[in-house]
Amino acid sequence: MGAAPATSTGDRETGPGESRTAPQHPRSSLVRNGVSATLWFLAPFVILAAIWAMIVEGTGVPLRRFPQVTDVAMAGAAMMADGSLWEHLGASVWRVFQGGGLAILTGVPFGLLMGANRKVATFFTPLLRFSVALAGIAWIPLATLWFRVDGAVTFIIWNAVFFSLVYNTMQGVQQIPVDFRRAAQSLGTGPLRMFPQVLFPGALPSIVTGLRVGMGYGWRGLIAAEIIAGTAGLGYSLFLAEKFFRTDVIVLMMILIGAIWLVMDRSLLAPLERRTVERWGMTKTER
Amino acid sequence: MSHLRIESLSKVYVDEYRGENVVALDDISFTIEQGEFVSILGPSGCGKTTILNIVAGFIEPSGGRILLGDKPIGGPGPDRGVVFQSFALFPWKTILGNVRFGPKMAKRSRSEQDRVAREFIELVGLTGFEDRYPHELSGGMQQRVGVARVLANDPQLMLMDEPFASVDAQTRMKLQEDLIKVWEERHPTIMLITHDIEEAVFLSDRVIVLTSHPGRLNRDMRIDLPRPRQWANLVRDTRFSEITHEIMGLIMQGSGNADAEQEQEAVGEASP
Repeated sequence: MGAAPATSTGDRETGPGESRTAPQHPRSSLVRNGVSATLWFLAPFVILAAIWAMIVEGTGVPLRRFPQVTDVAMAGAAMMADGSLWEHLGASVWRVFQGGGLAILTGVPFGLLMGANRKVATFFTPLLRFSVALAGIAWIPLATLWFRVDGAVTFIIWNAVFFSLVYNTMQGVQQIPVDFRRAAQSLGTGPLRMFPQVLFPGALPSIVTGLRVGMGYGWRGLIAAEIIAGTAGLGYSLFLAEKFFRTDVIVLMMILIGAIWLVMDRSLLAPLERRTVERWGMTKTER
Repeated sequence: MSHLRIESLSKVYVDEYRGENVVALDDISFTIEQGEFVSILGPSGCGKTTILNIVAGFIEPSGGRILLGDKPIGGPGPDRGVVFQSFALFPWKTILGNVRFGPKMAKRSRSEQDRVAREFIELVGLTGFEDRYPHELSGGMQQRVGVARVLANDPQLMLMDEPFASVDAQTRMKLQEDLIKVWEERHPTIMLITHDIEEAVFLSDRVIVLTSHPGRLNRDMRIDLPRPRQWANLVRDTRFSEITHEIMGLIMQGSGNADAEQEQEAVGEASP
């Protein structure tokens, strides 16, 4: 039984007055590591851009087929200047937060319930598997009929994040060592308080992982939904640009879609996941 | 009137693979008095942890009756605190948060929760570690928190399931001595499960020795060693070695019989 809190069992014992702490790095080396990590992270993109510029230069492919790096930069500057870039970007990000938020509010309680009760889990599991296959853009026609265009896009994101959250929350609860629940019961925790006191915090590392994975699905779903049923947003802008042979805008949007996801993931979701896992005293490999 | 009364307790498991009933516990009866320290001792497979799980309310017995005070026990409850072999500290809570958990569940005021928690953190010698997380502490320190968490809830009975089995030998001896100190100061009623003969004799007022396959009561021994007890004094104590040797004999005998029975069974199965 891999009880999570017993991670230090095999380690050397220390008496009171002594405890083990992570080695402290001097601050300057942390900053230096951060800068160098960022440079290494950007390096492949810089090389890719250089190759792209050389190929377009060498082959002389026309703008209506593929843009030069500078065309994309200029398109970006123009869209920033007239504000349309912020409009599309804001619309997409807002929808992702809306759909993600709704998914947290609905998916986490449902996942906790499924994790806590084997009968509920057994009953819903086939339905969950079925829905995972459908999750995403297959819902767009119905969602558009029900919620109009804007609501439909939010619905697609909710749908994608929801199933990932439900599944990971359920698994997180099921992986809570039985001794945690028993300890809580013996300390007077009733069945209802077990949810906020033990099941939710115990499953949190898994919930955060589910959120991160789900938001990835959601972001892809968002772009697809905006292409099919959009009035604004990065996907819609991509779709519109195709009609006018604006390859510079198309590539700009593709870059933005990837870049914004990276920023959201690295600045928000990944740190959230890392901090939860670290604070819980678990490492990824142990789970 | 005994504090804890266990009458004709039995537990039968269904071995689904072999499709037969396995008797884990057979007709176990004993009592524990208020403030008494009793150890249940036996080889692995004697069902000693099953007894604890039933008394704690984690699993149901197949037969028999358990009374705490004058009331039969039901499911798990705050009147029976459990110290786990795995420590089972909540990793998302600080040491203070863990020890405060019981009083919090009892809906006592925040200041009262803190006062009680700090009192018991001090009792187990962990003052200064209130804001640490369990994974920052060694195994021995974590189990001190486990003891403090149970005592802070003021249970009628403290159940300890091989509490020191997963710490190293030196730490274990220190923890045993400190547990004795805590017990002498507060006199909680303790039922401790262990397979360590010396641990049982060192700590207890009484040692209940079980046989294995099925778990039956072998001997209920009163340990008449004077208190306070310390390892430094007991290692050369003749009475201490007499008692441990006697128990060792009981256990060897018990497990020897079980092995012989199993061998016989095997022979029986082999012949058509």
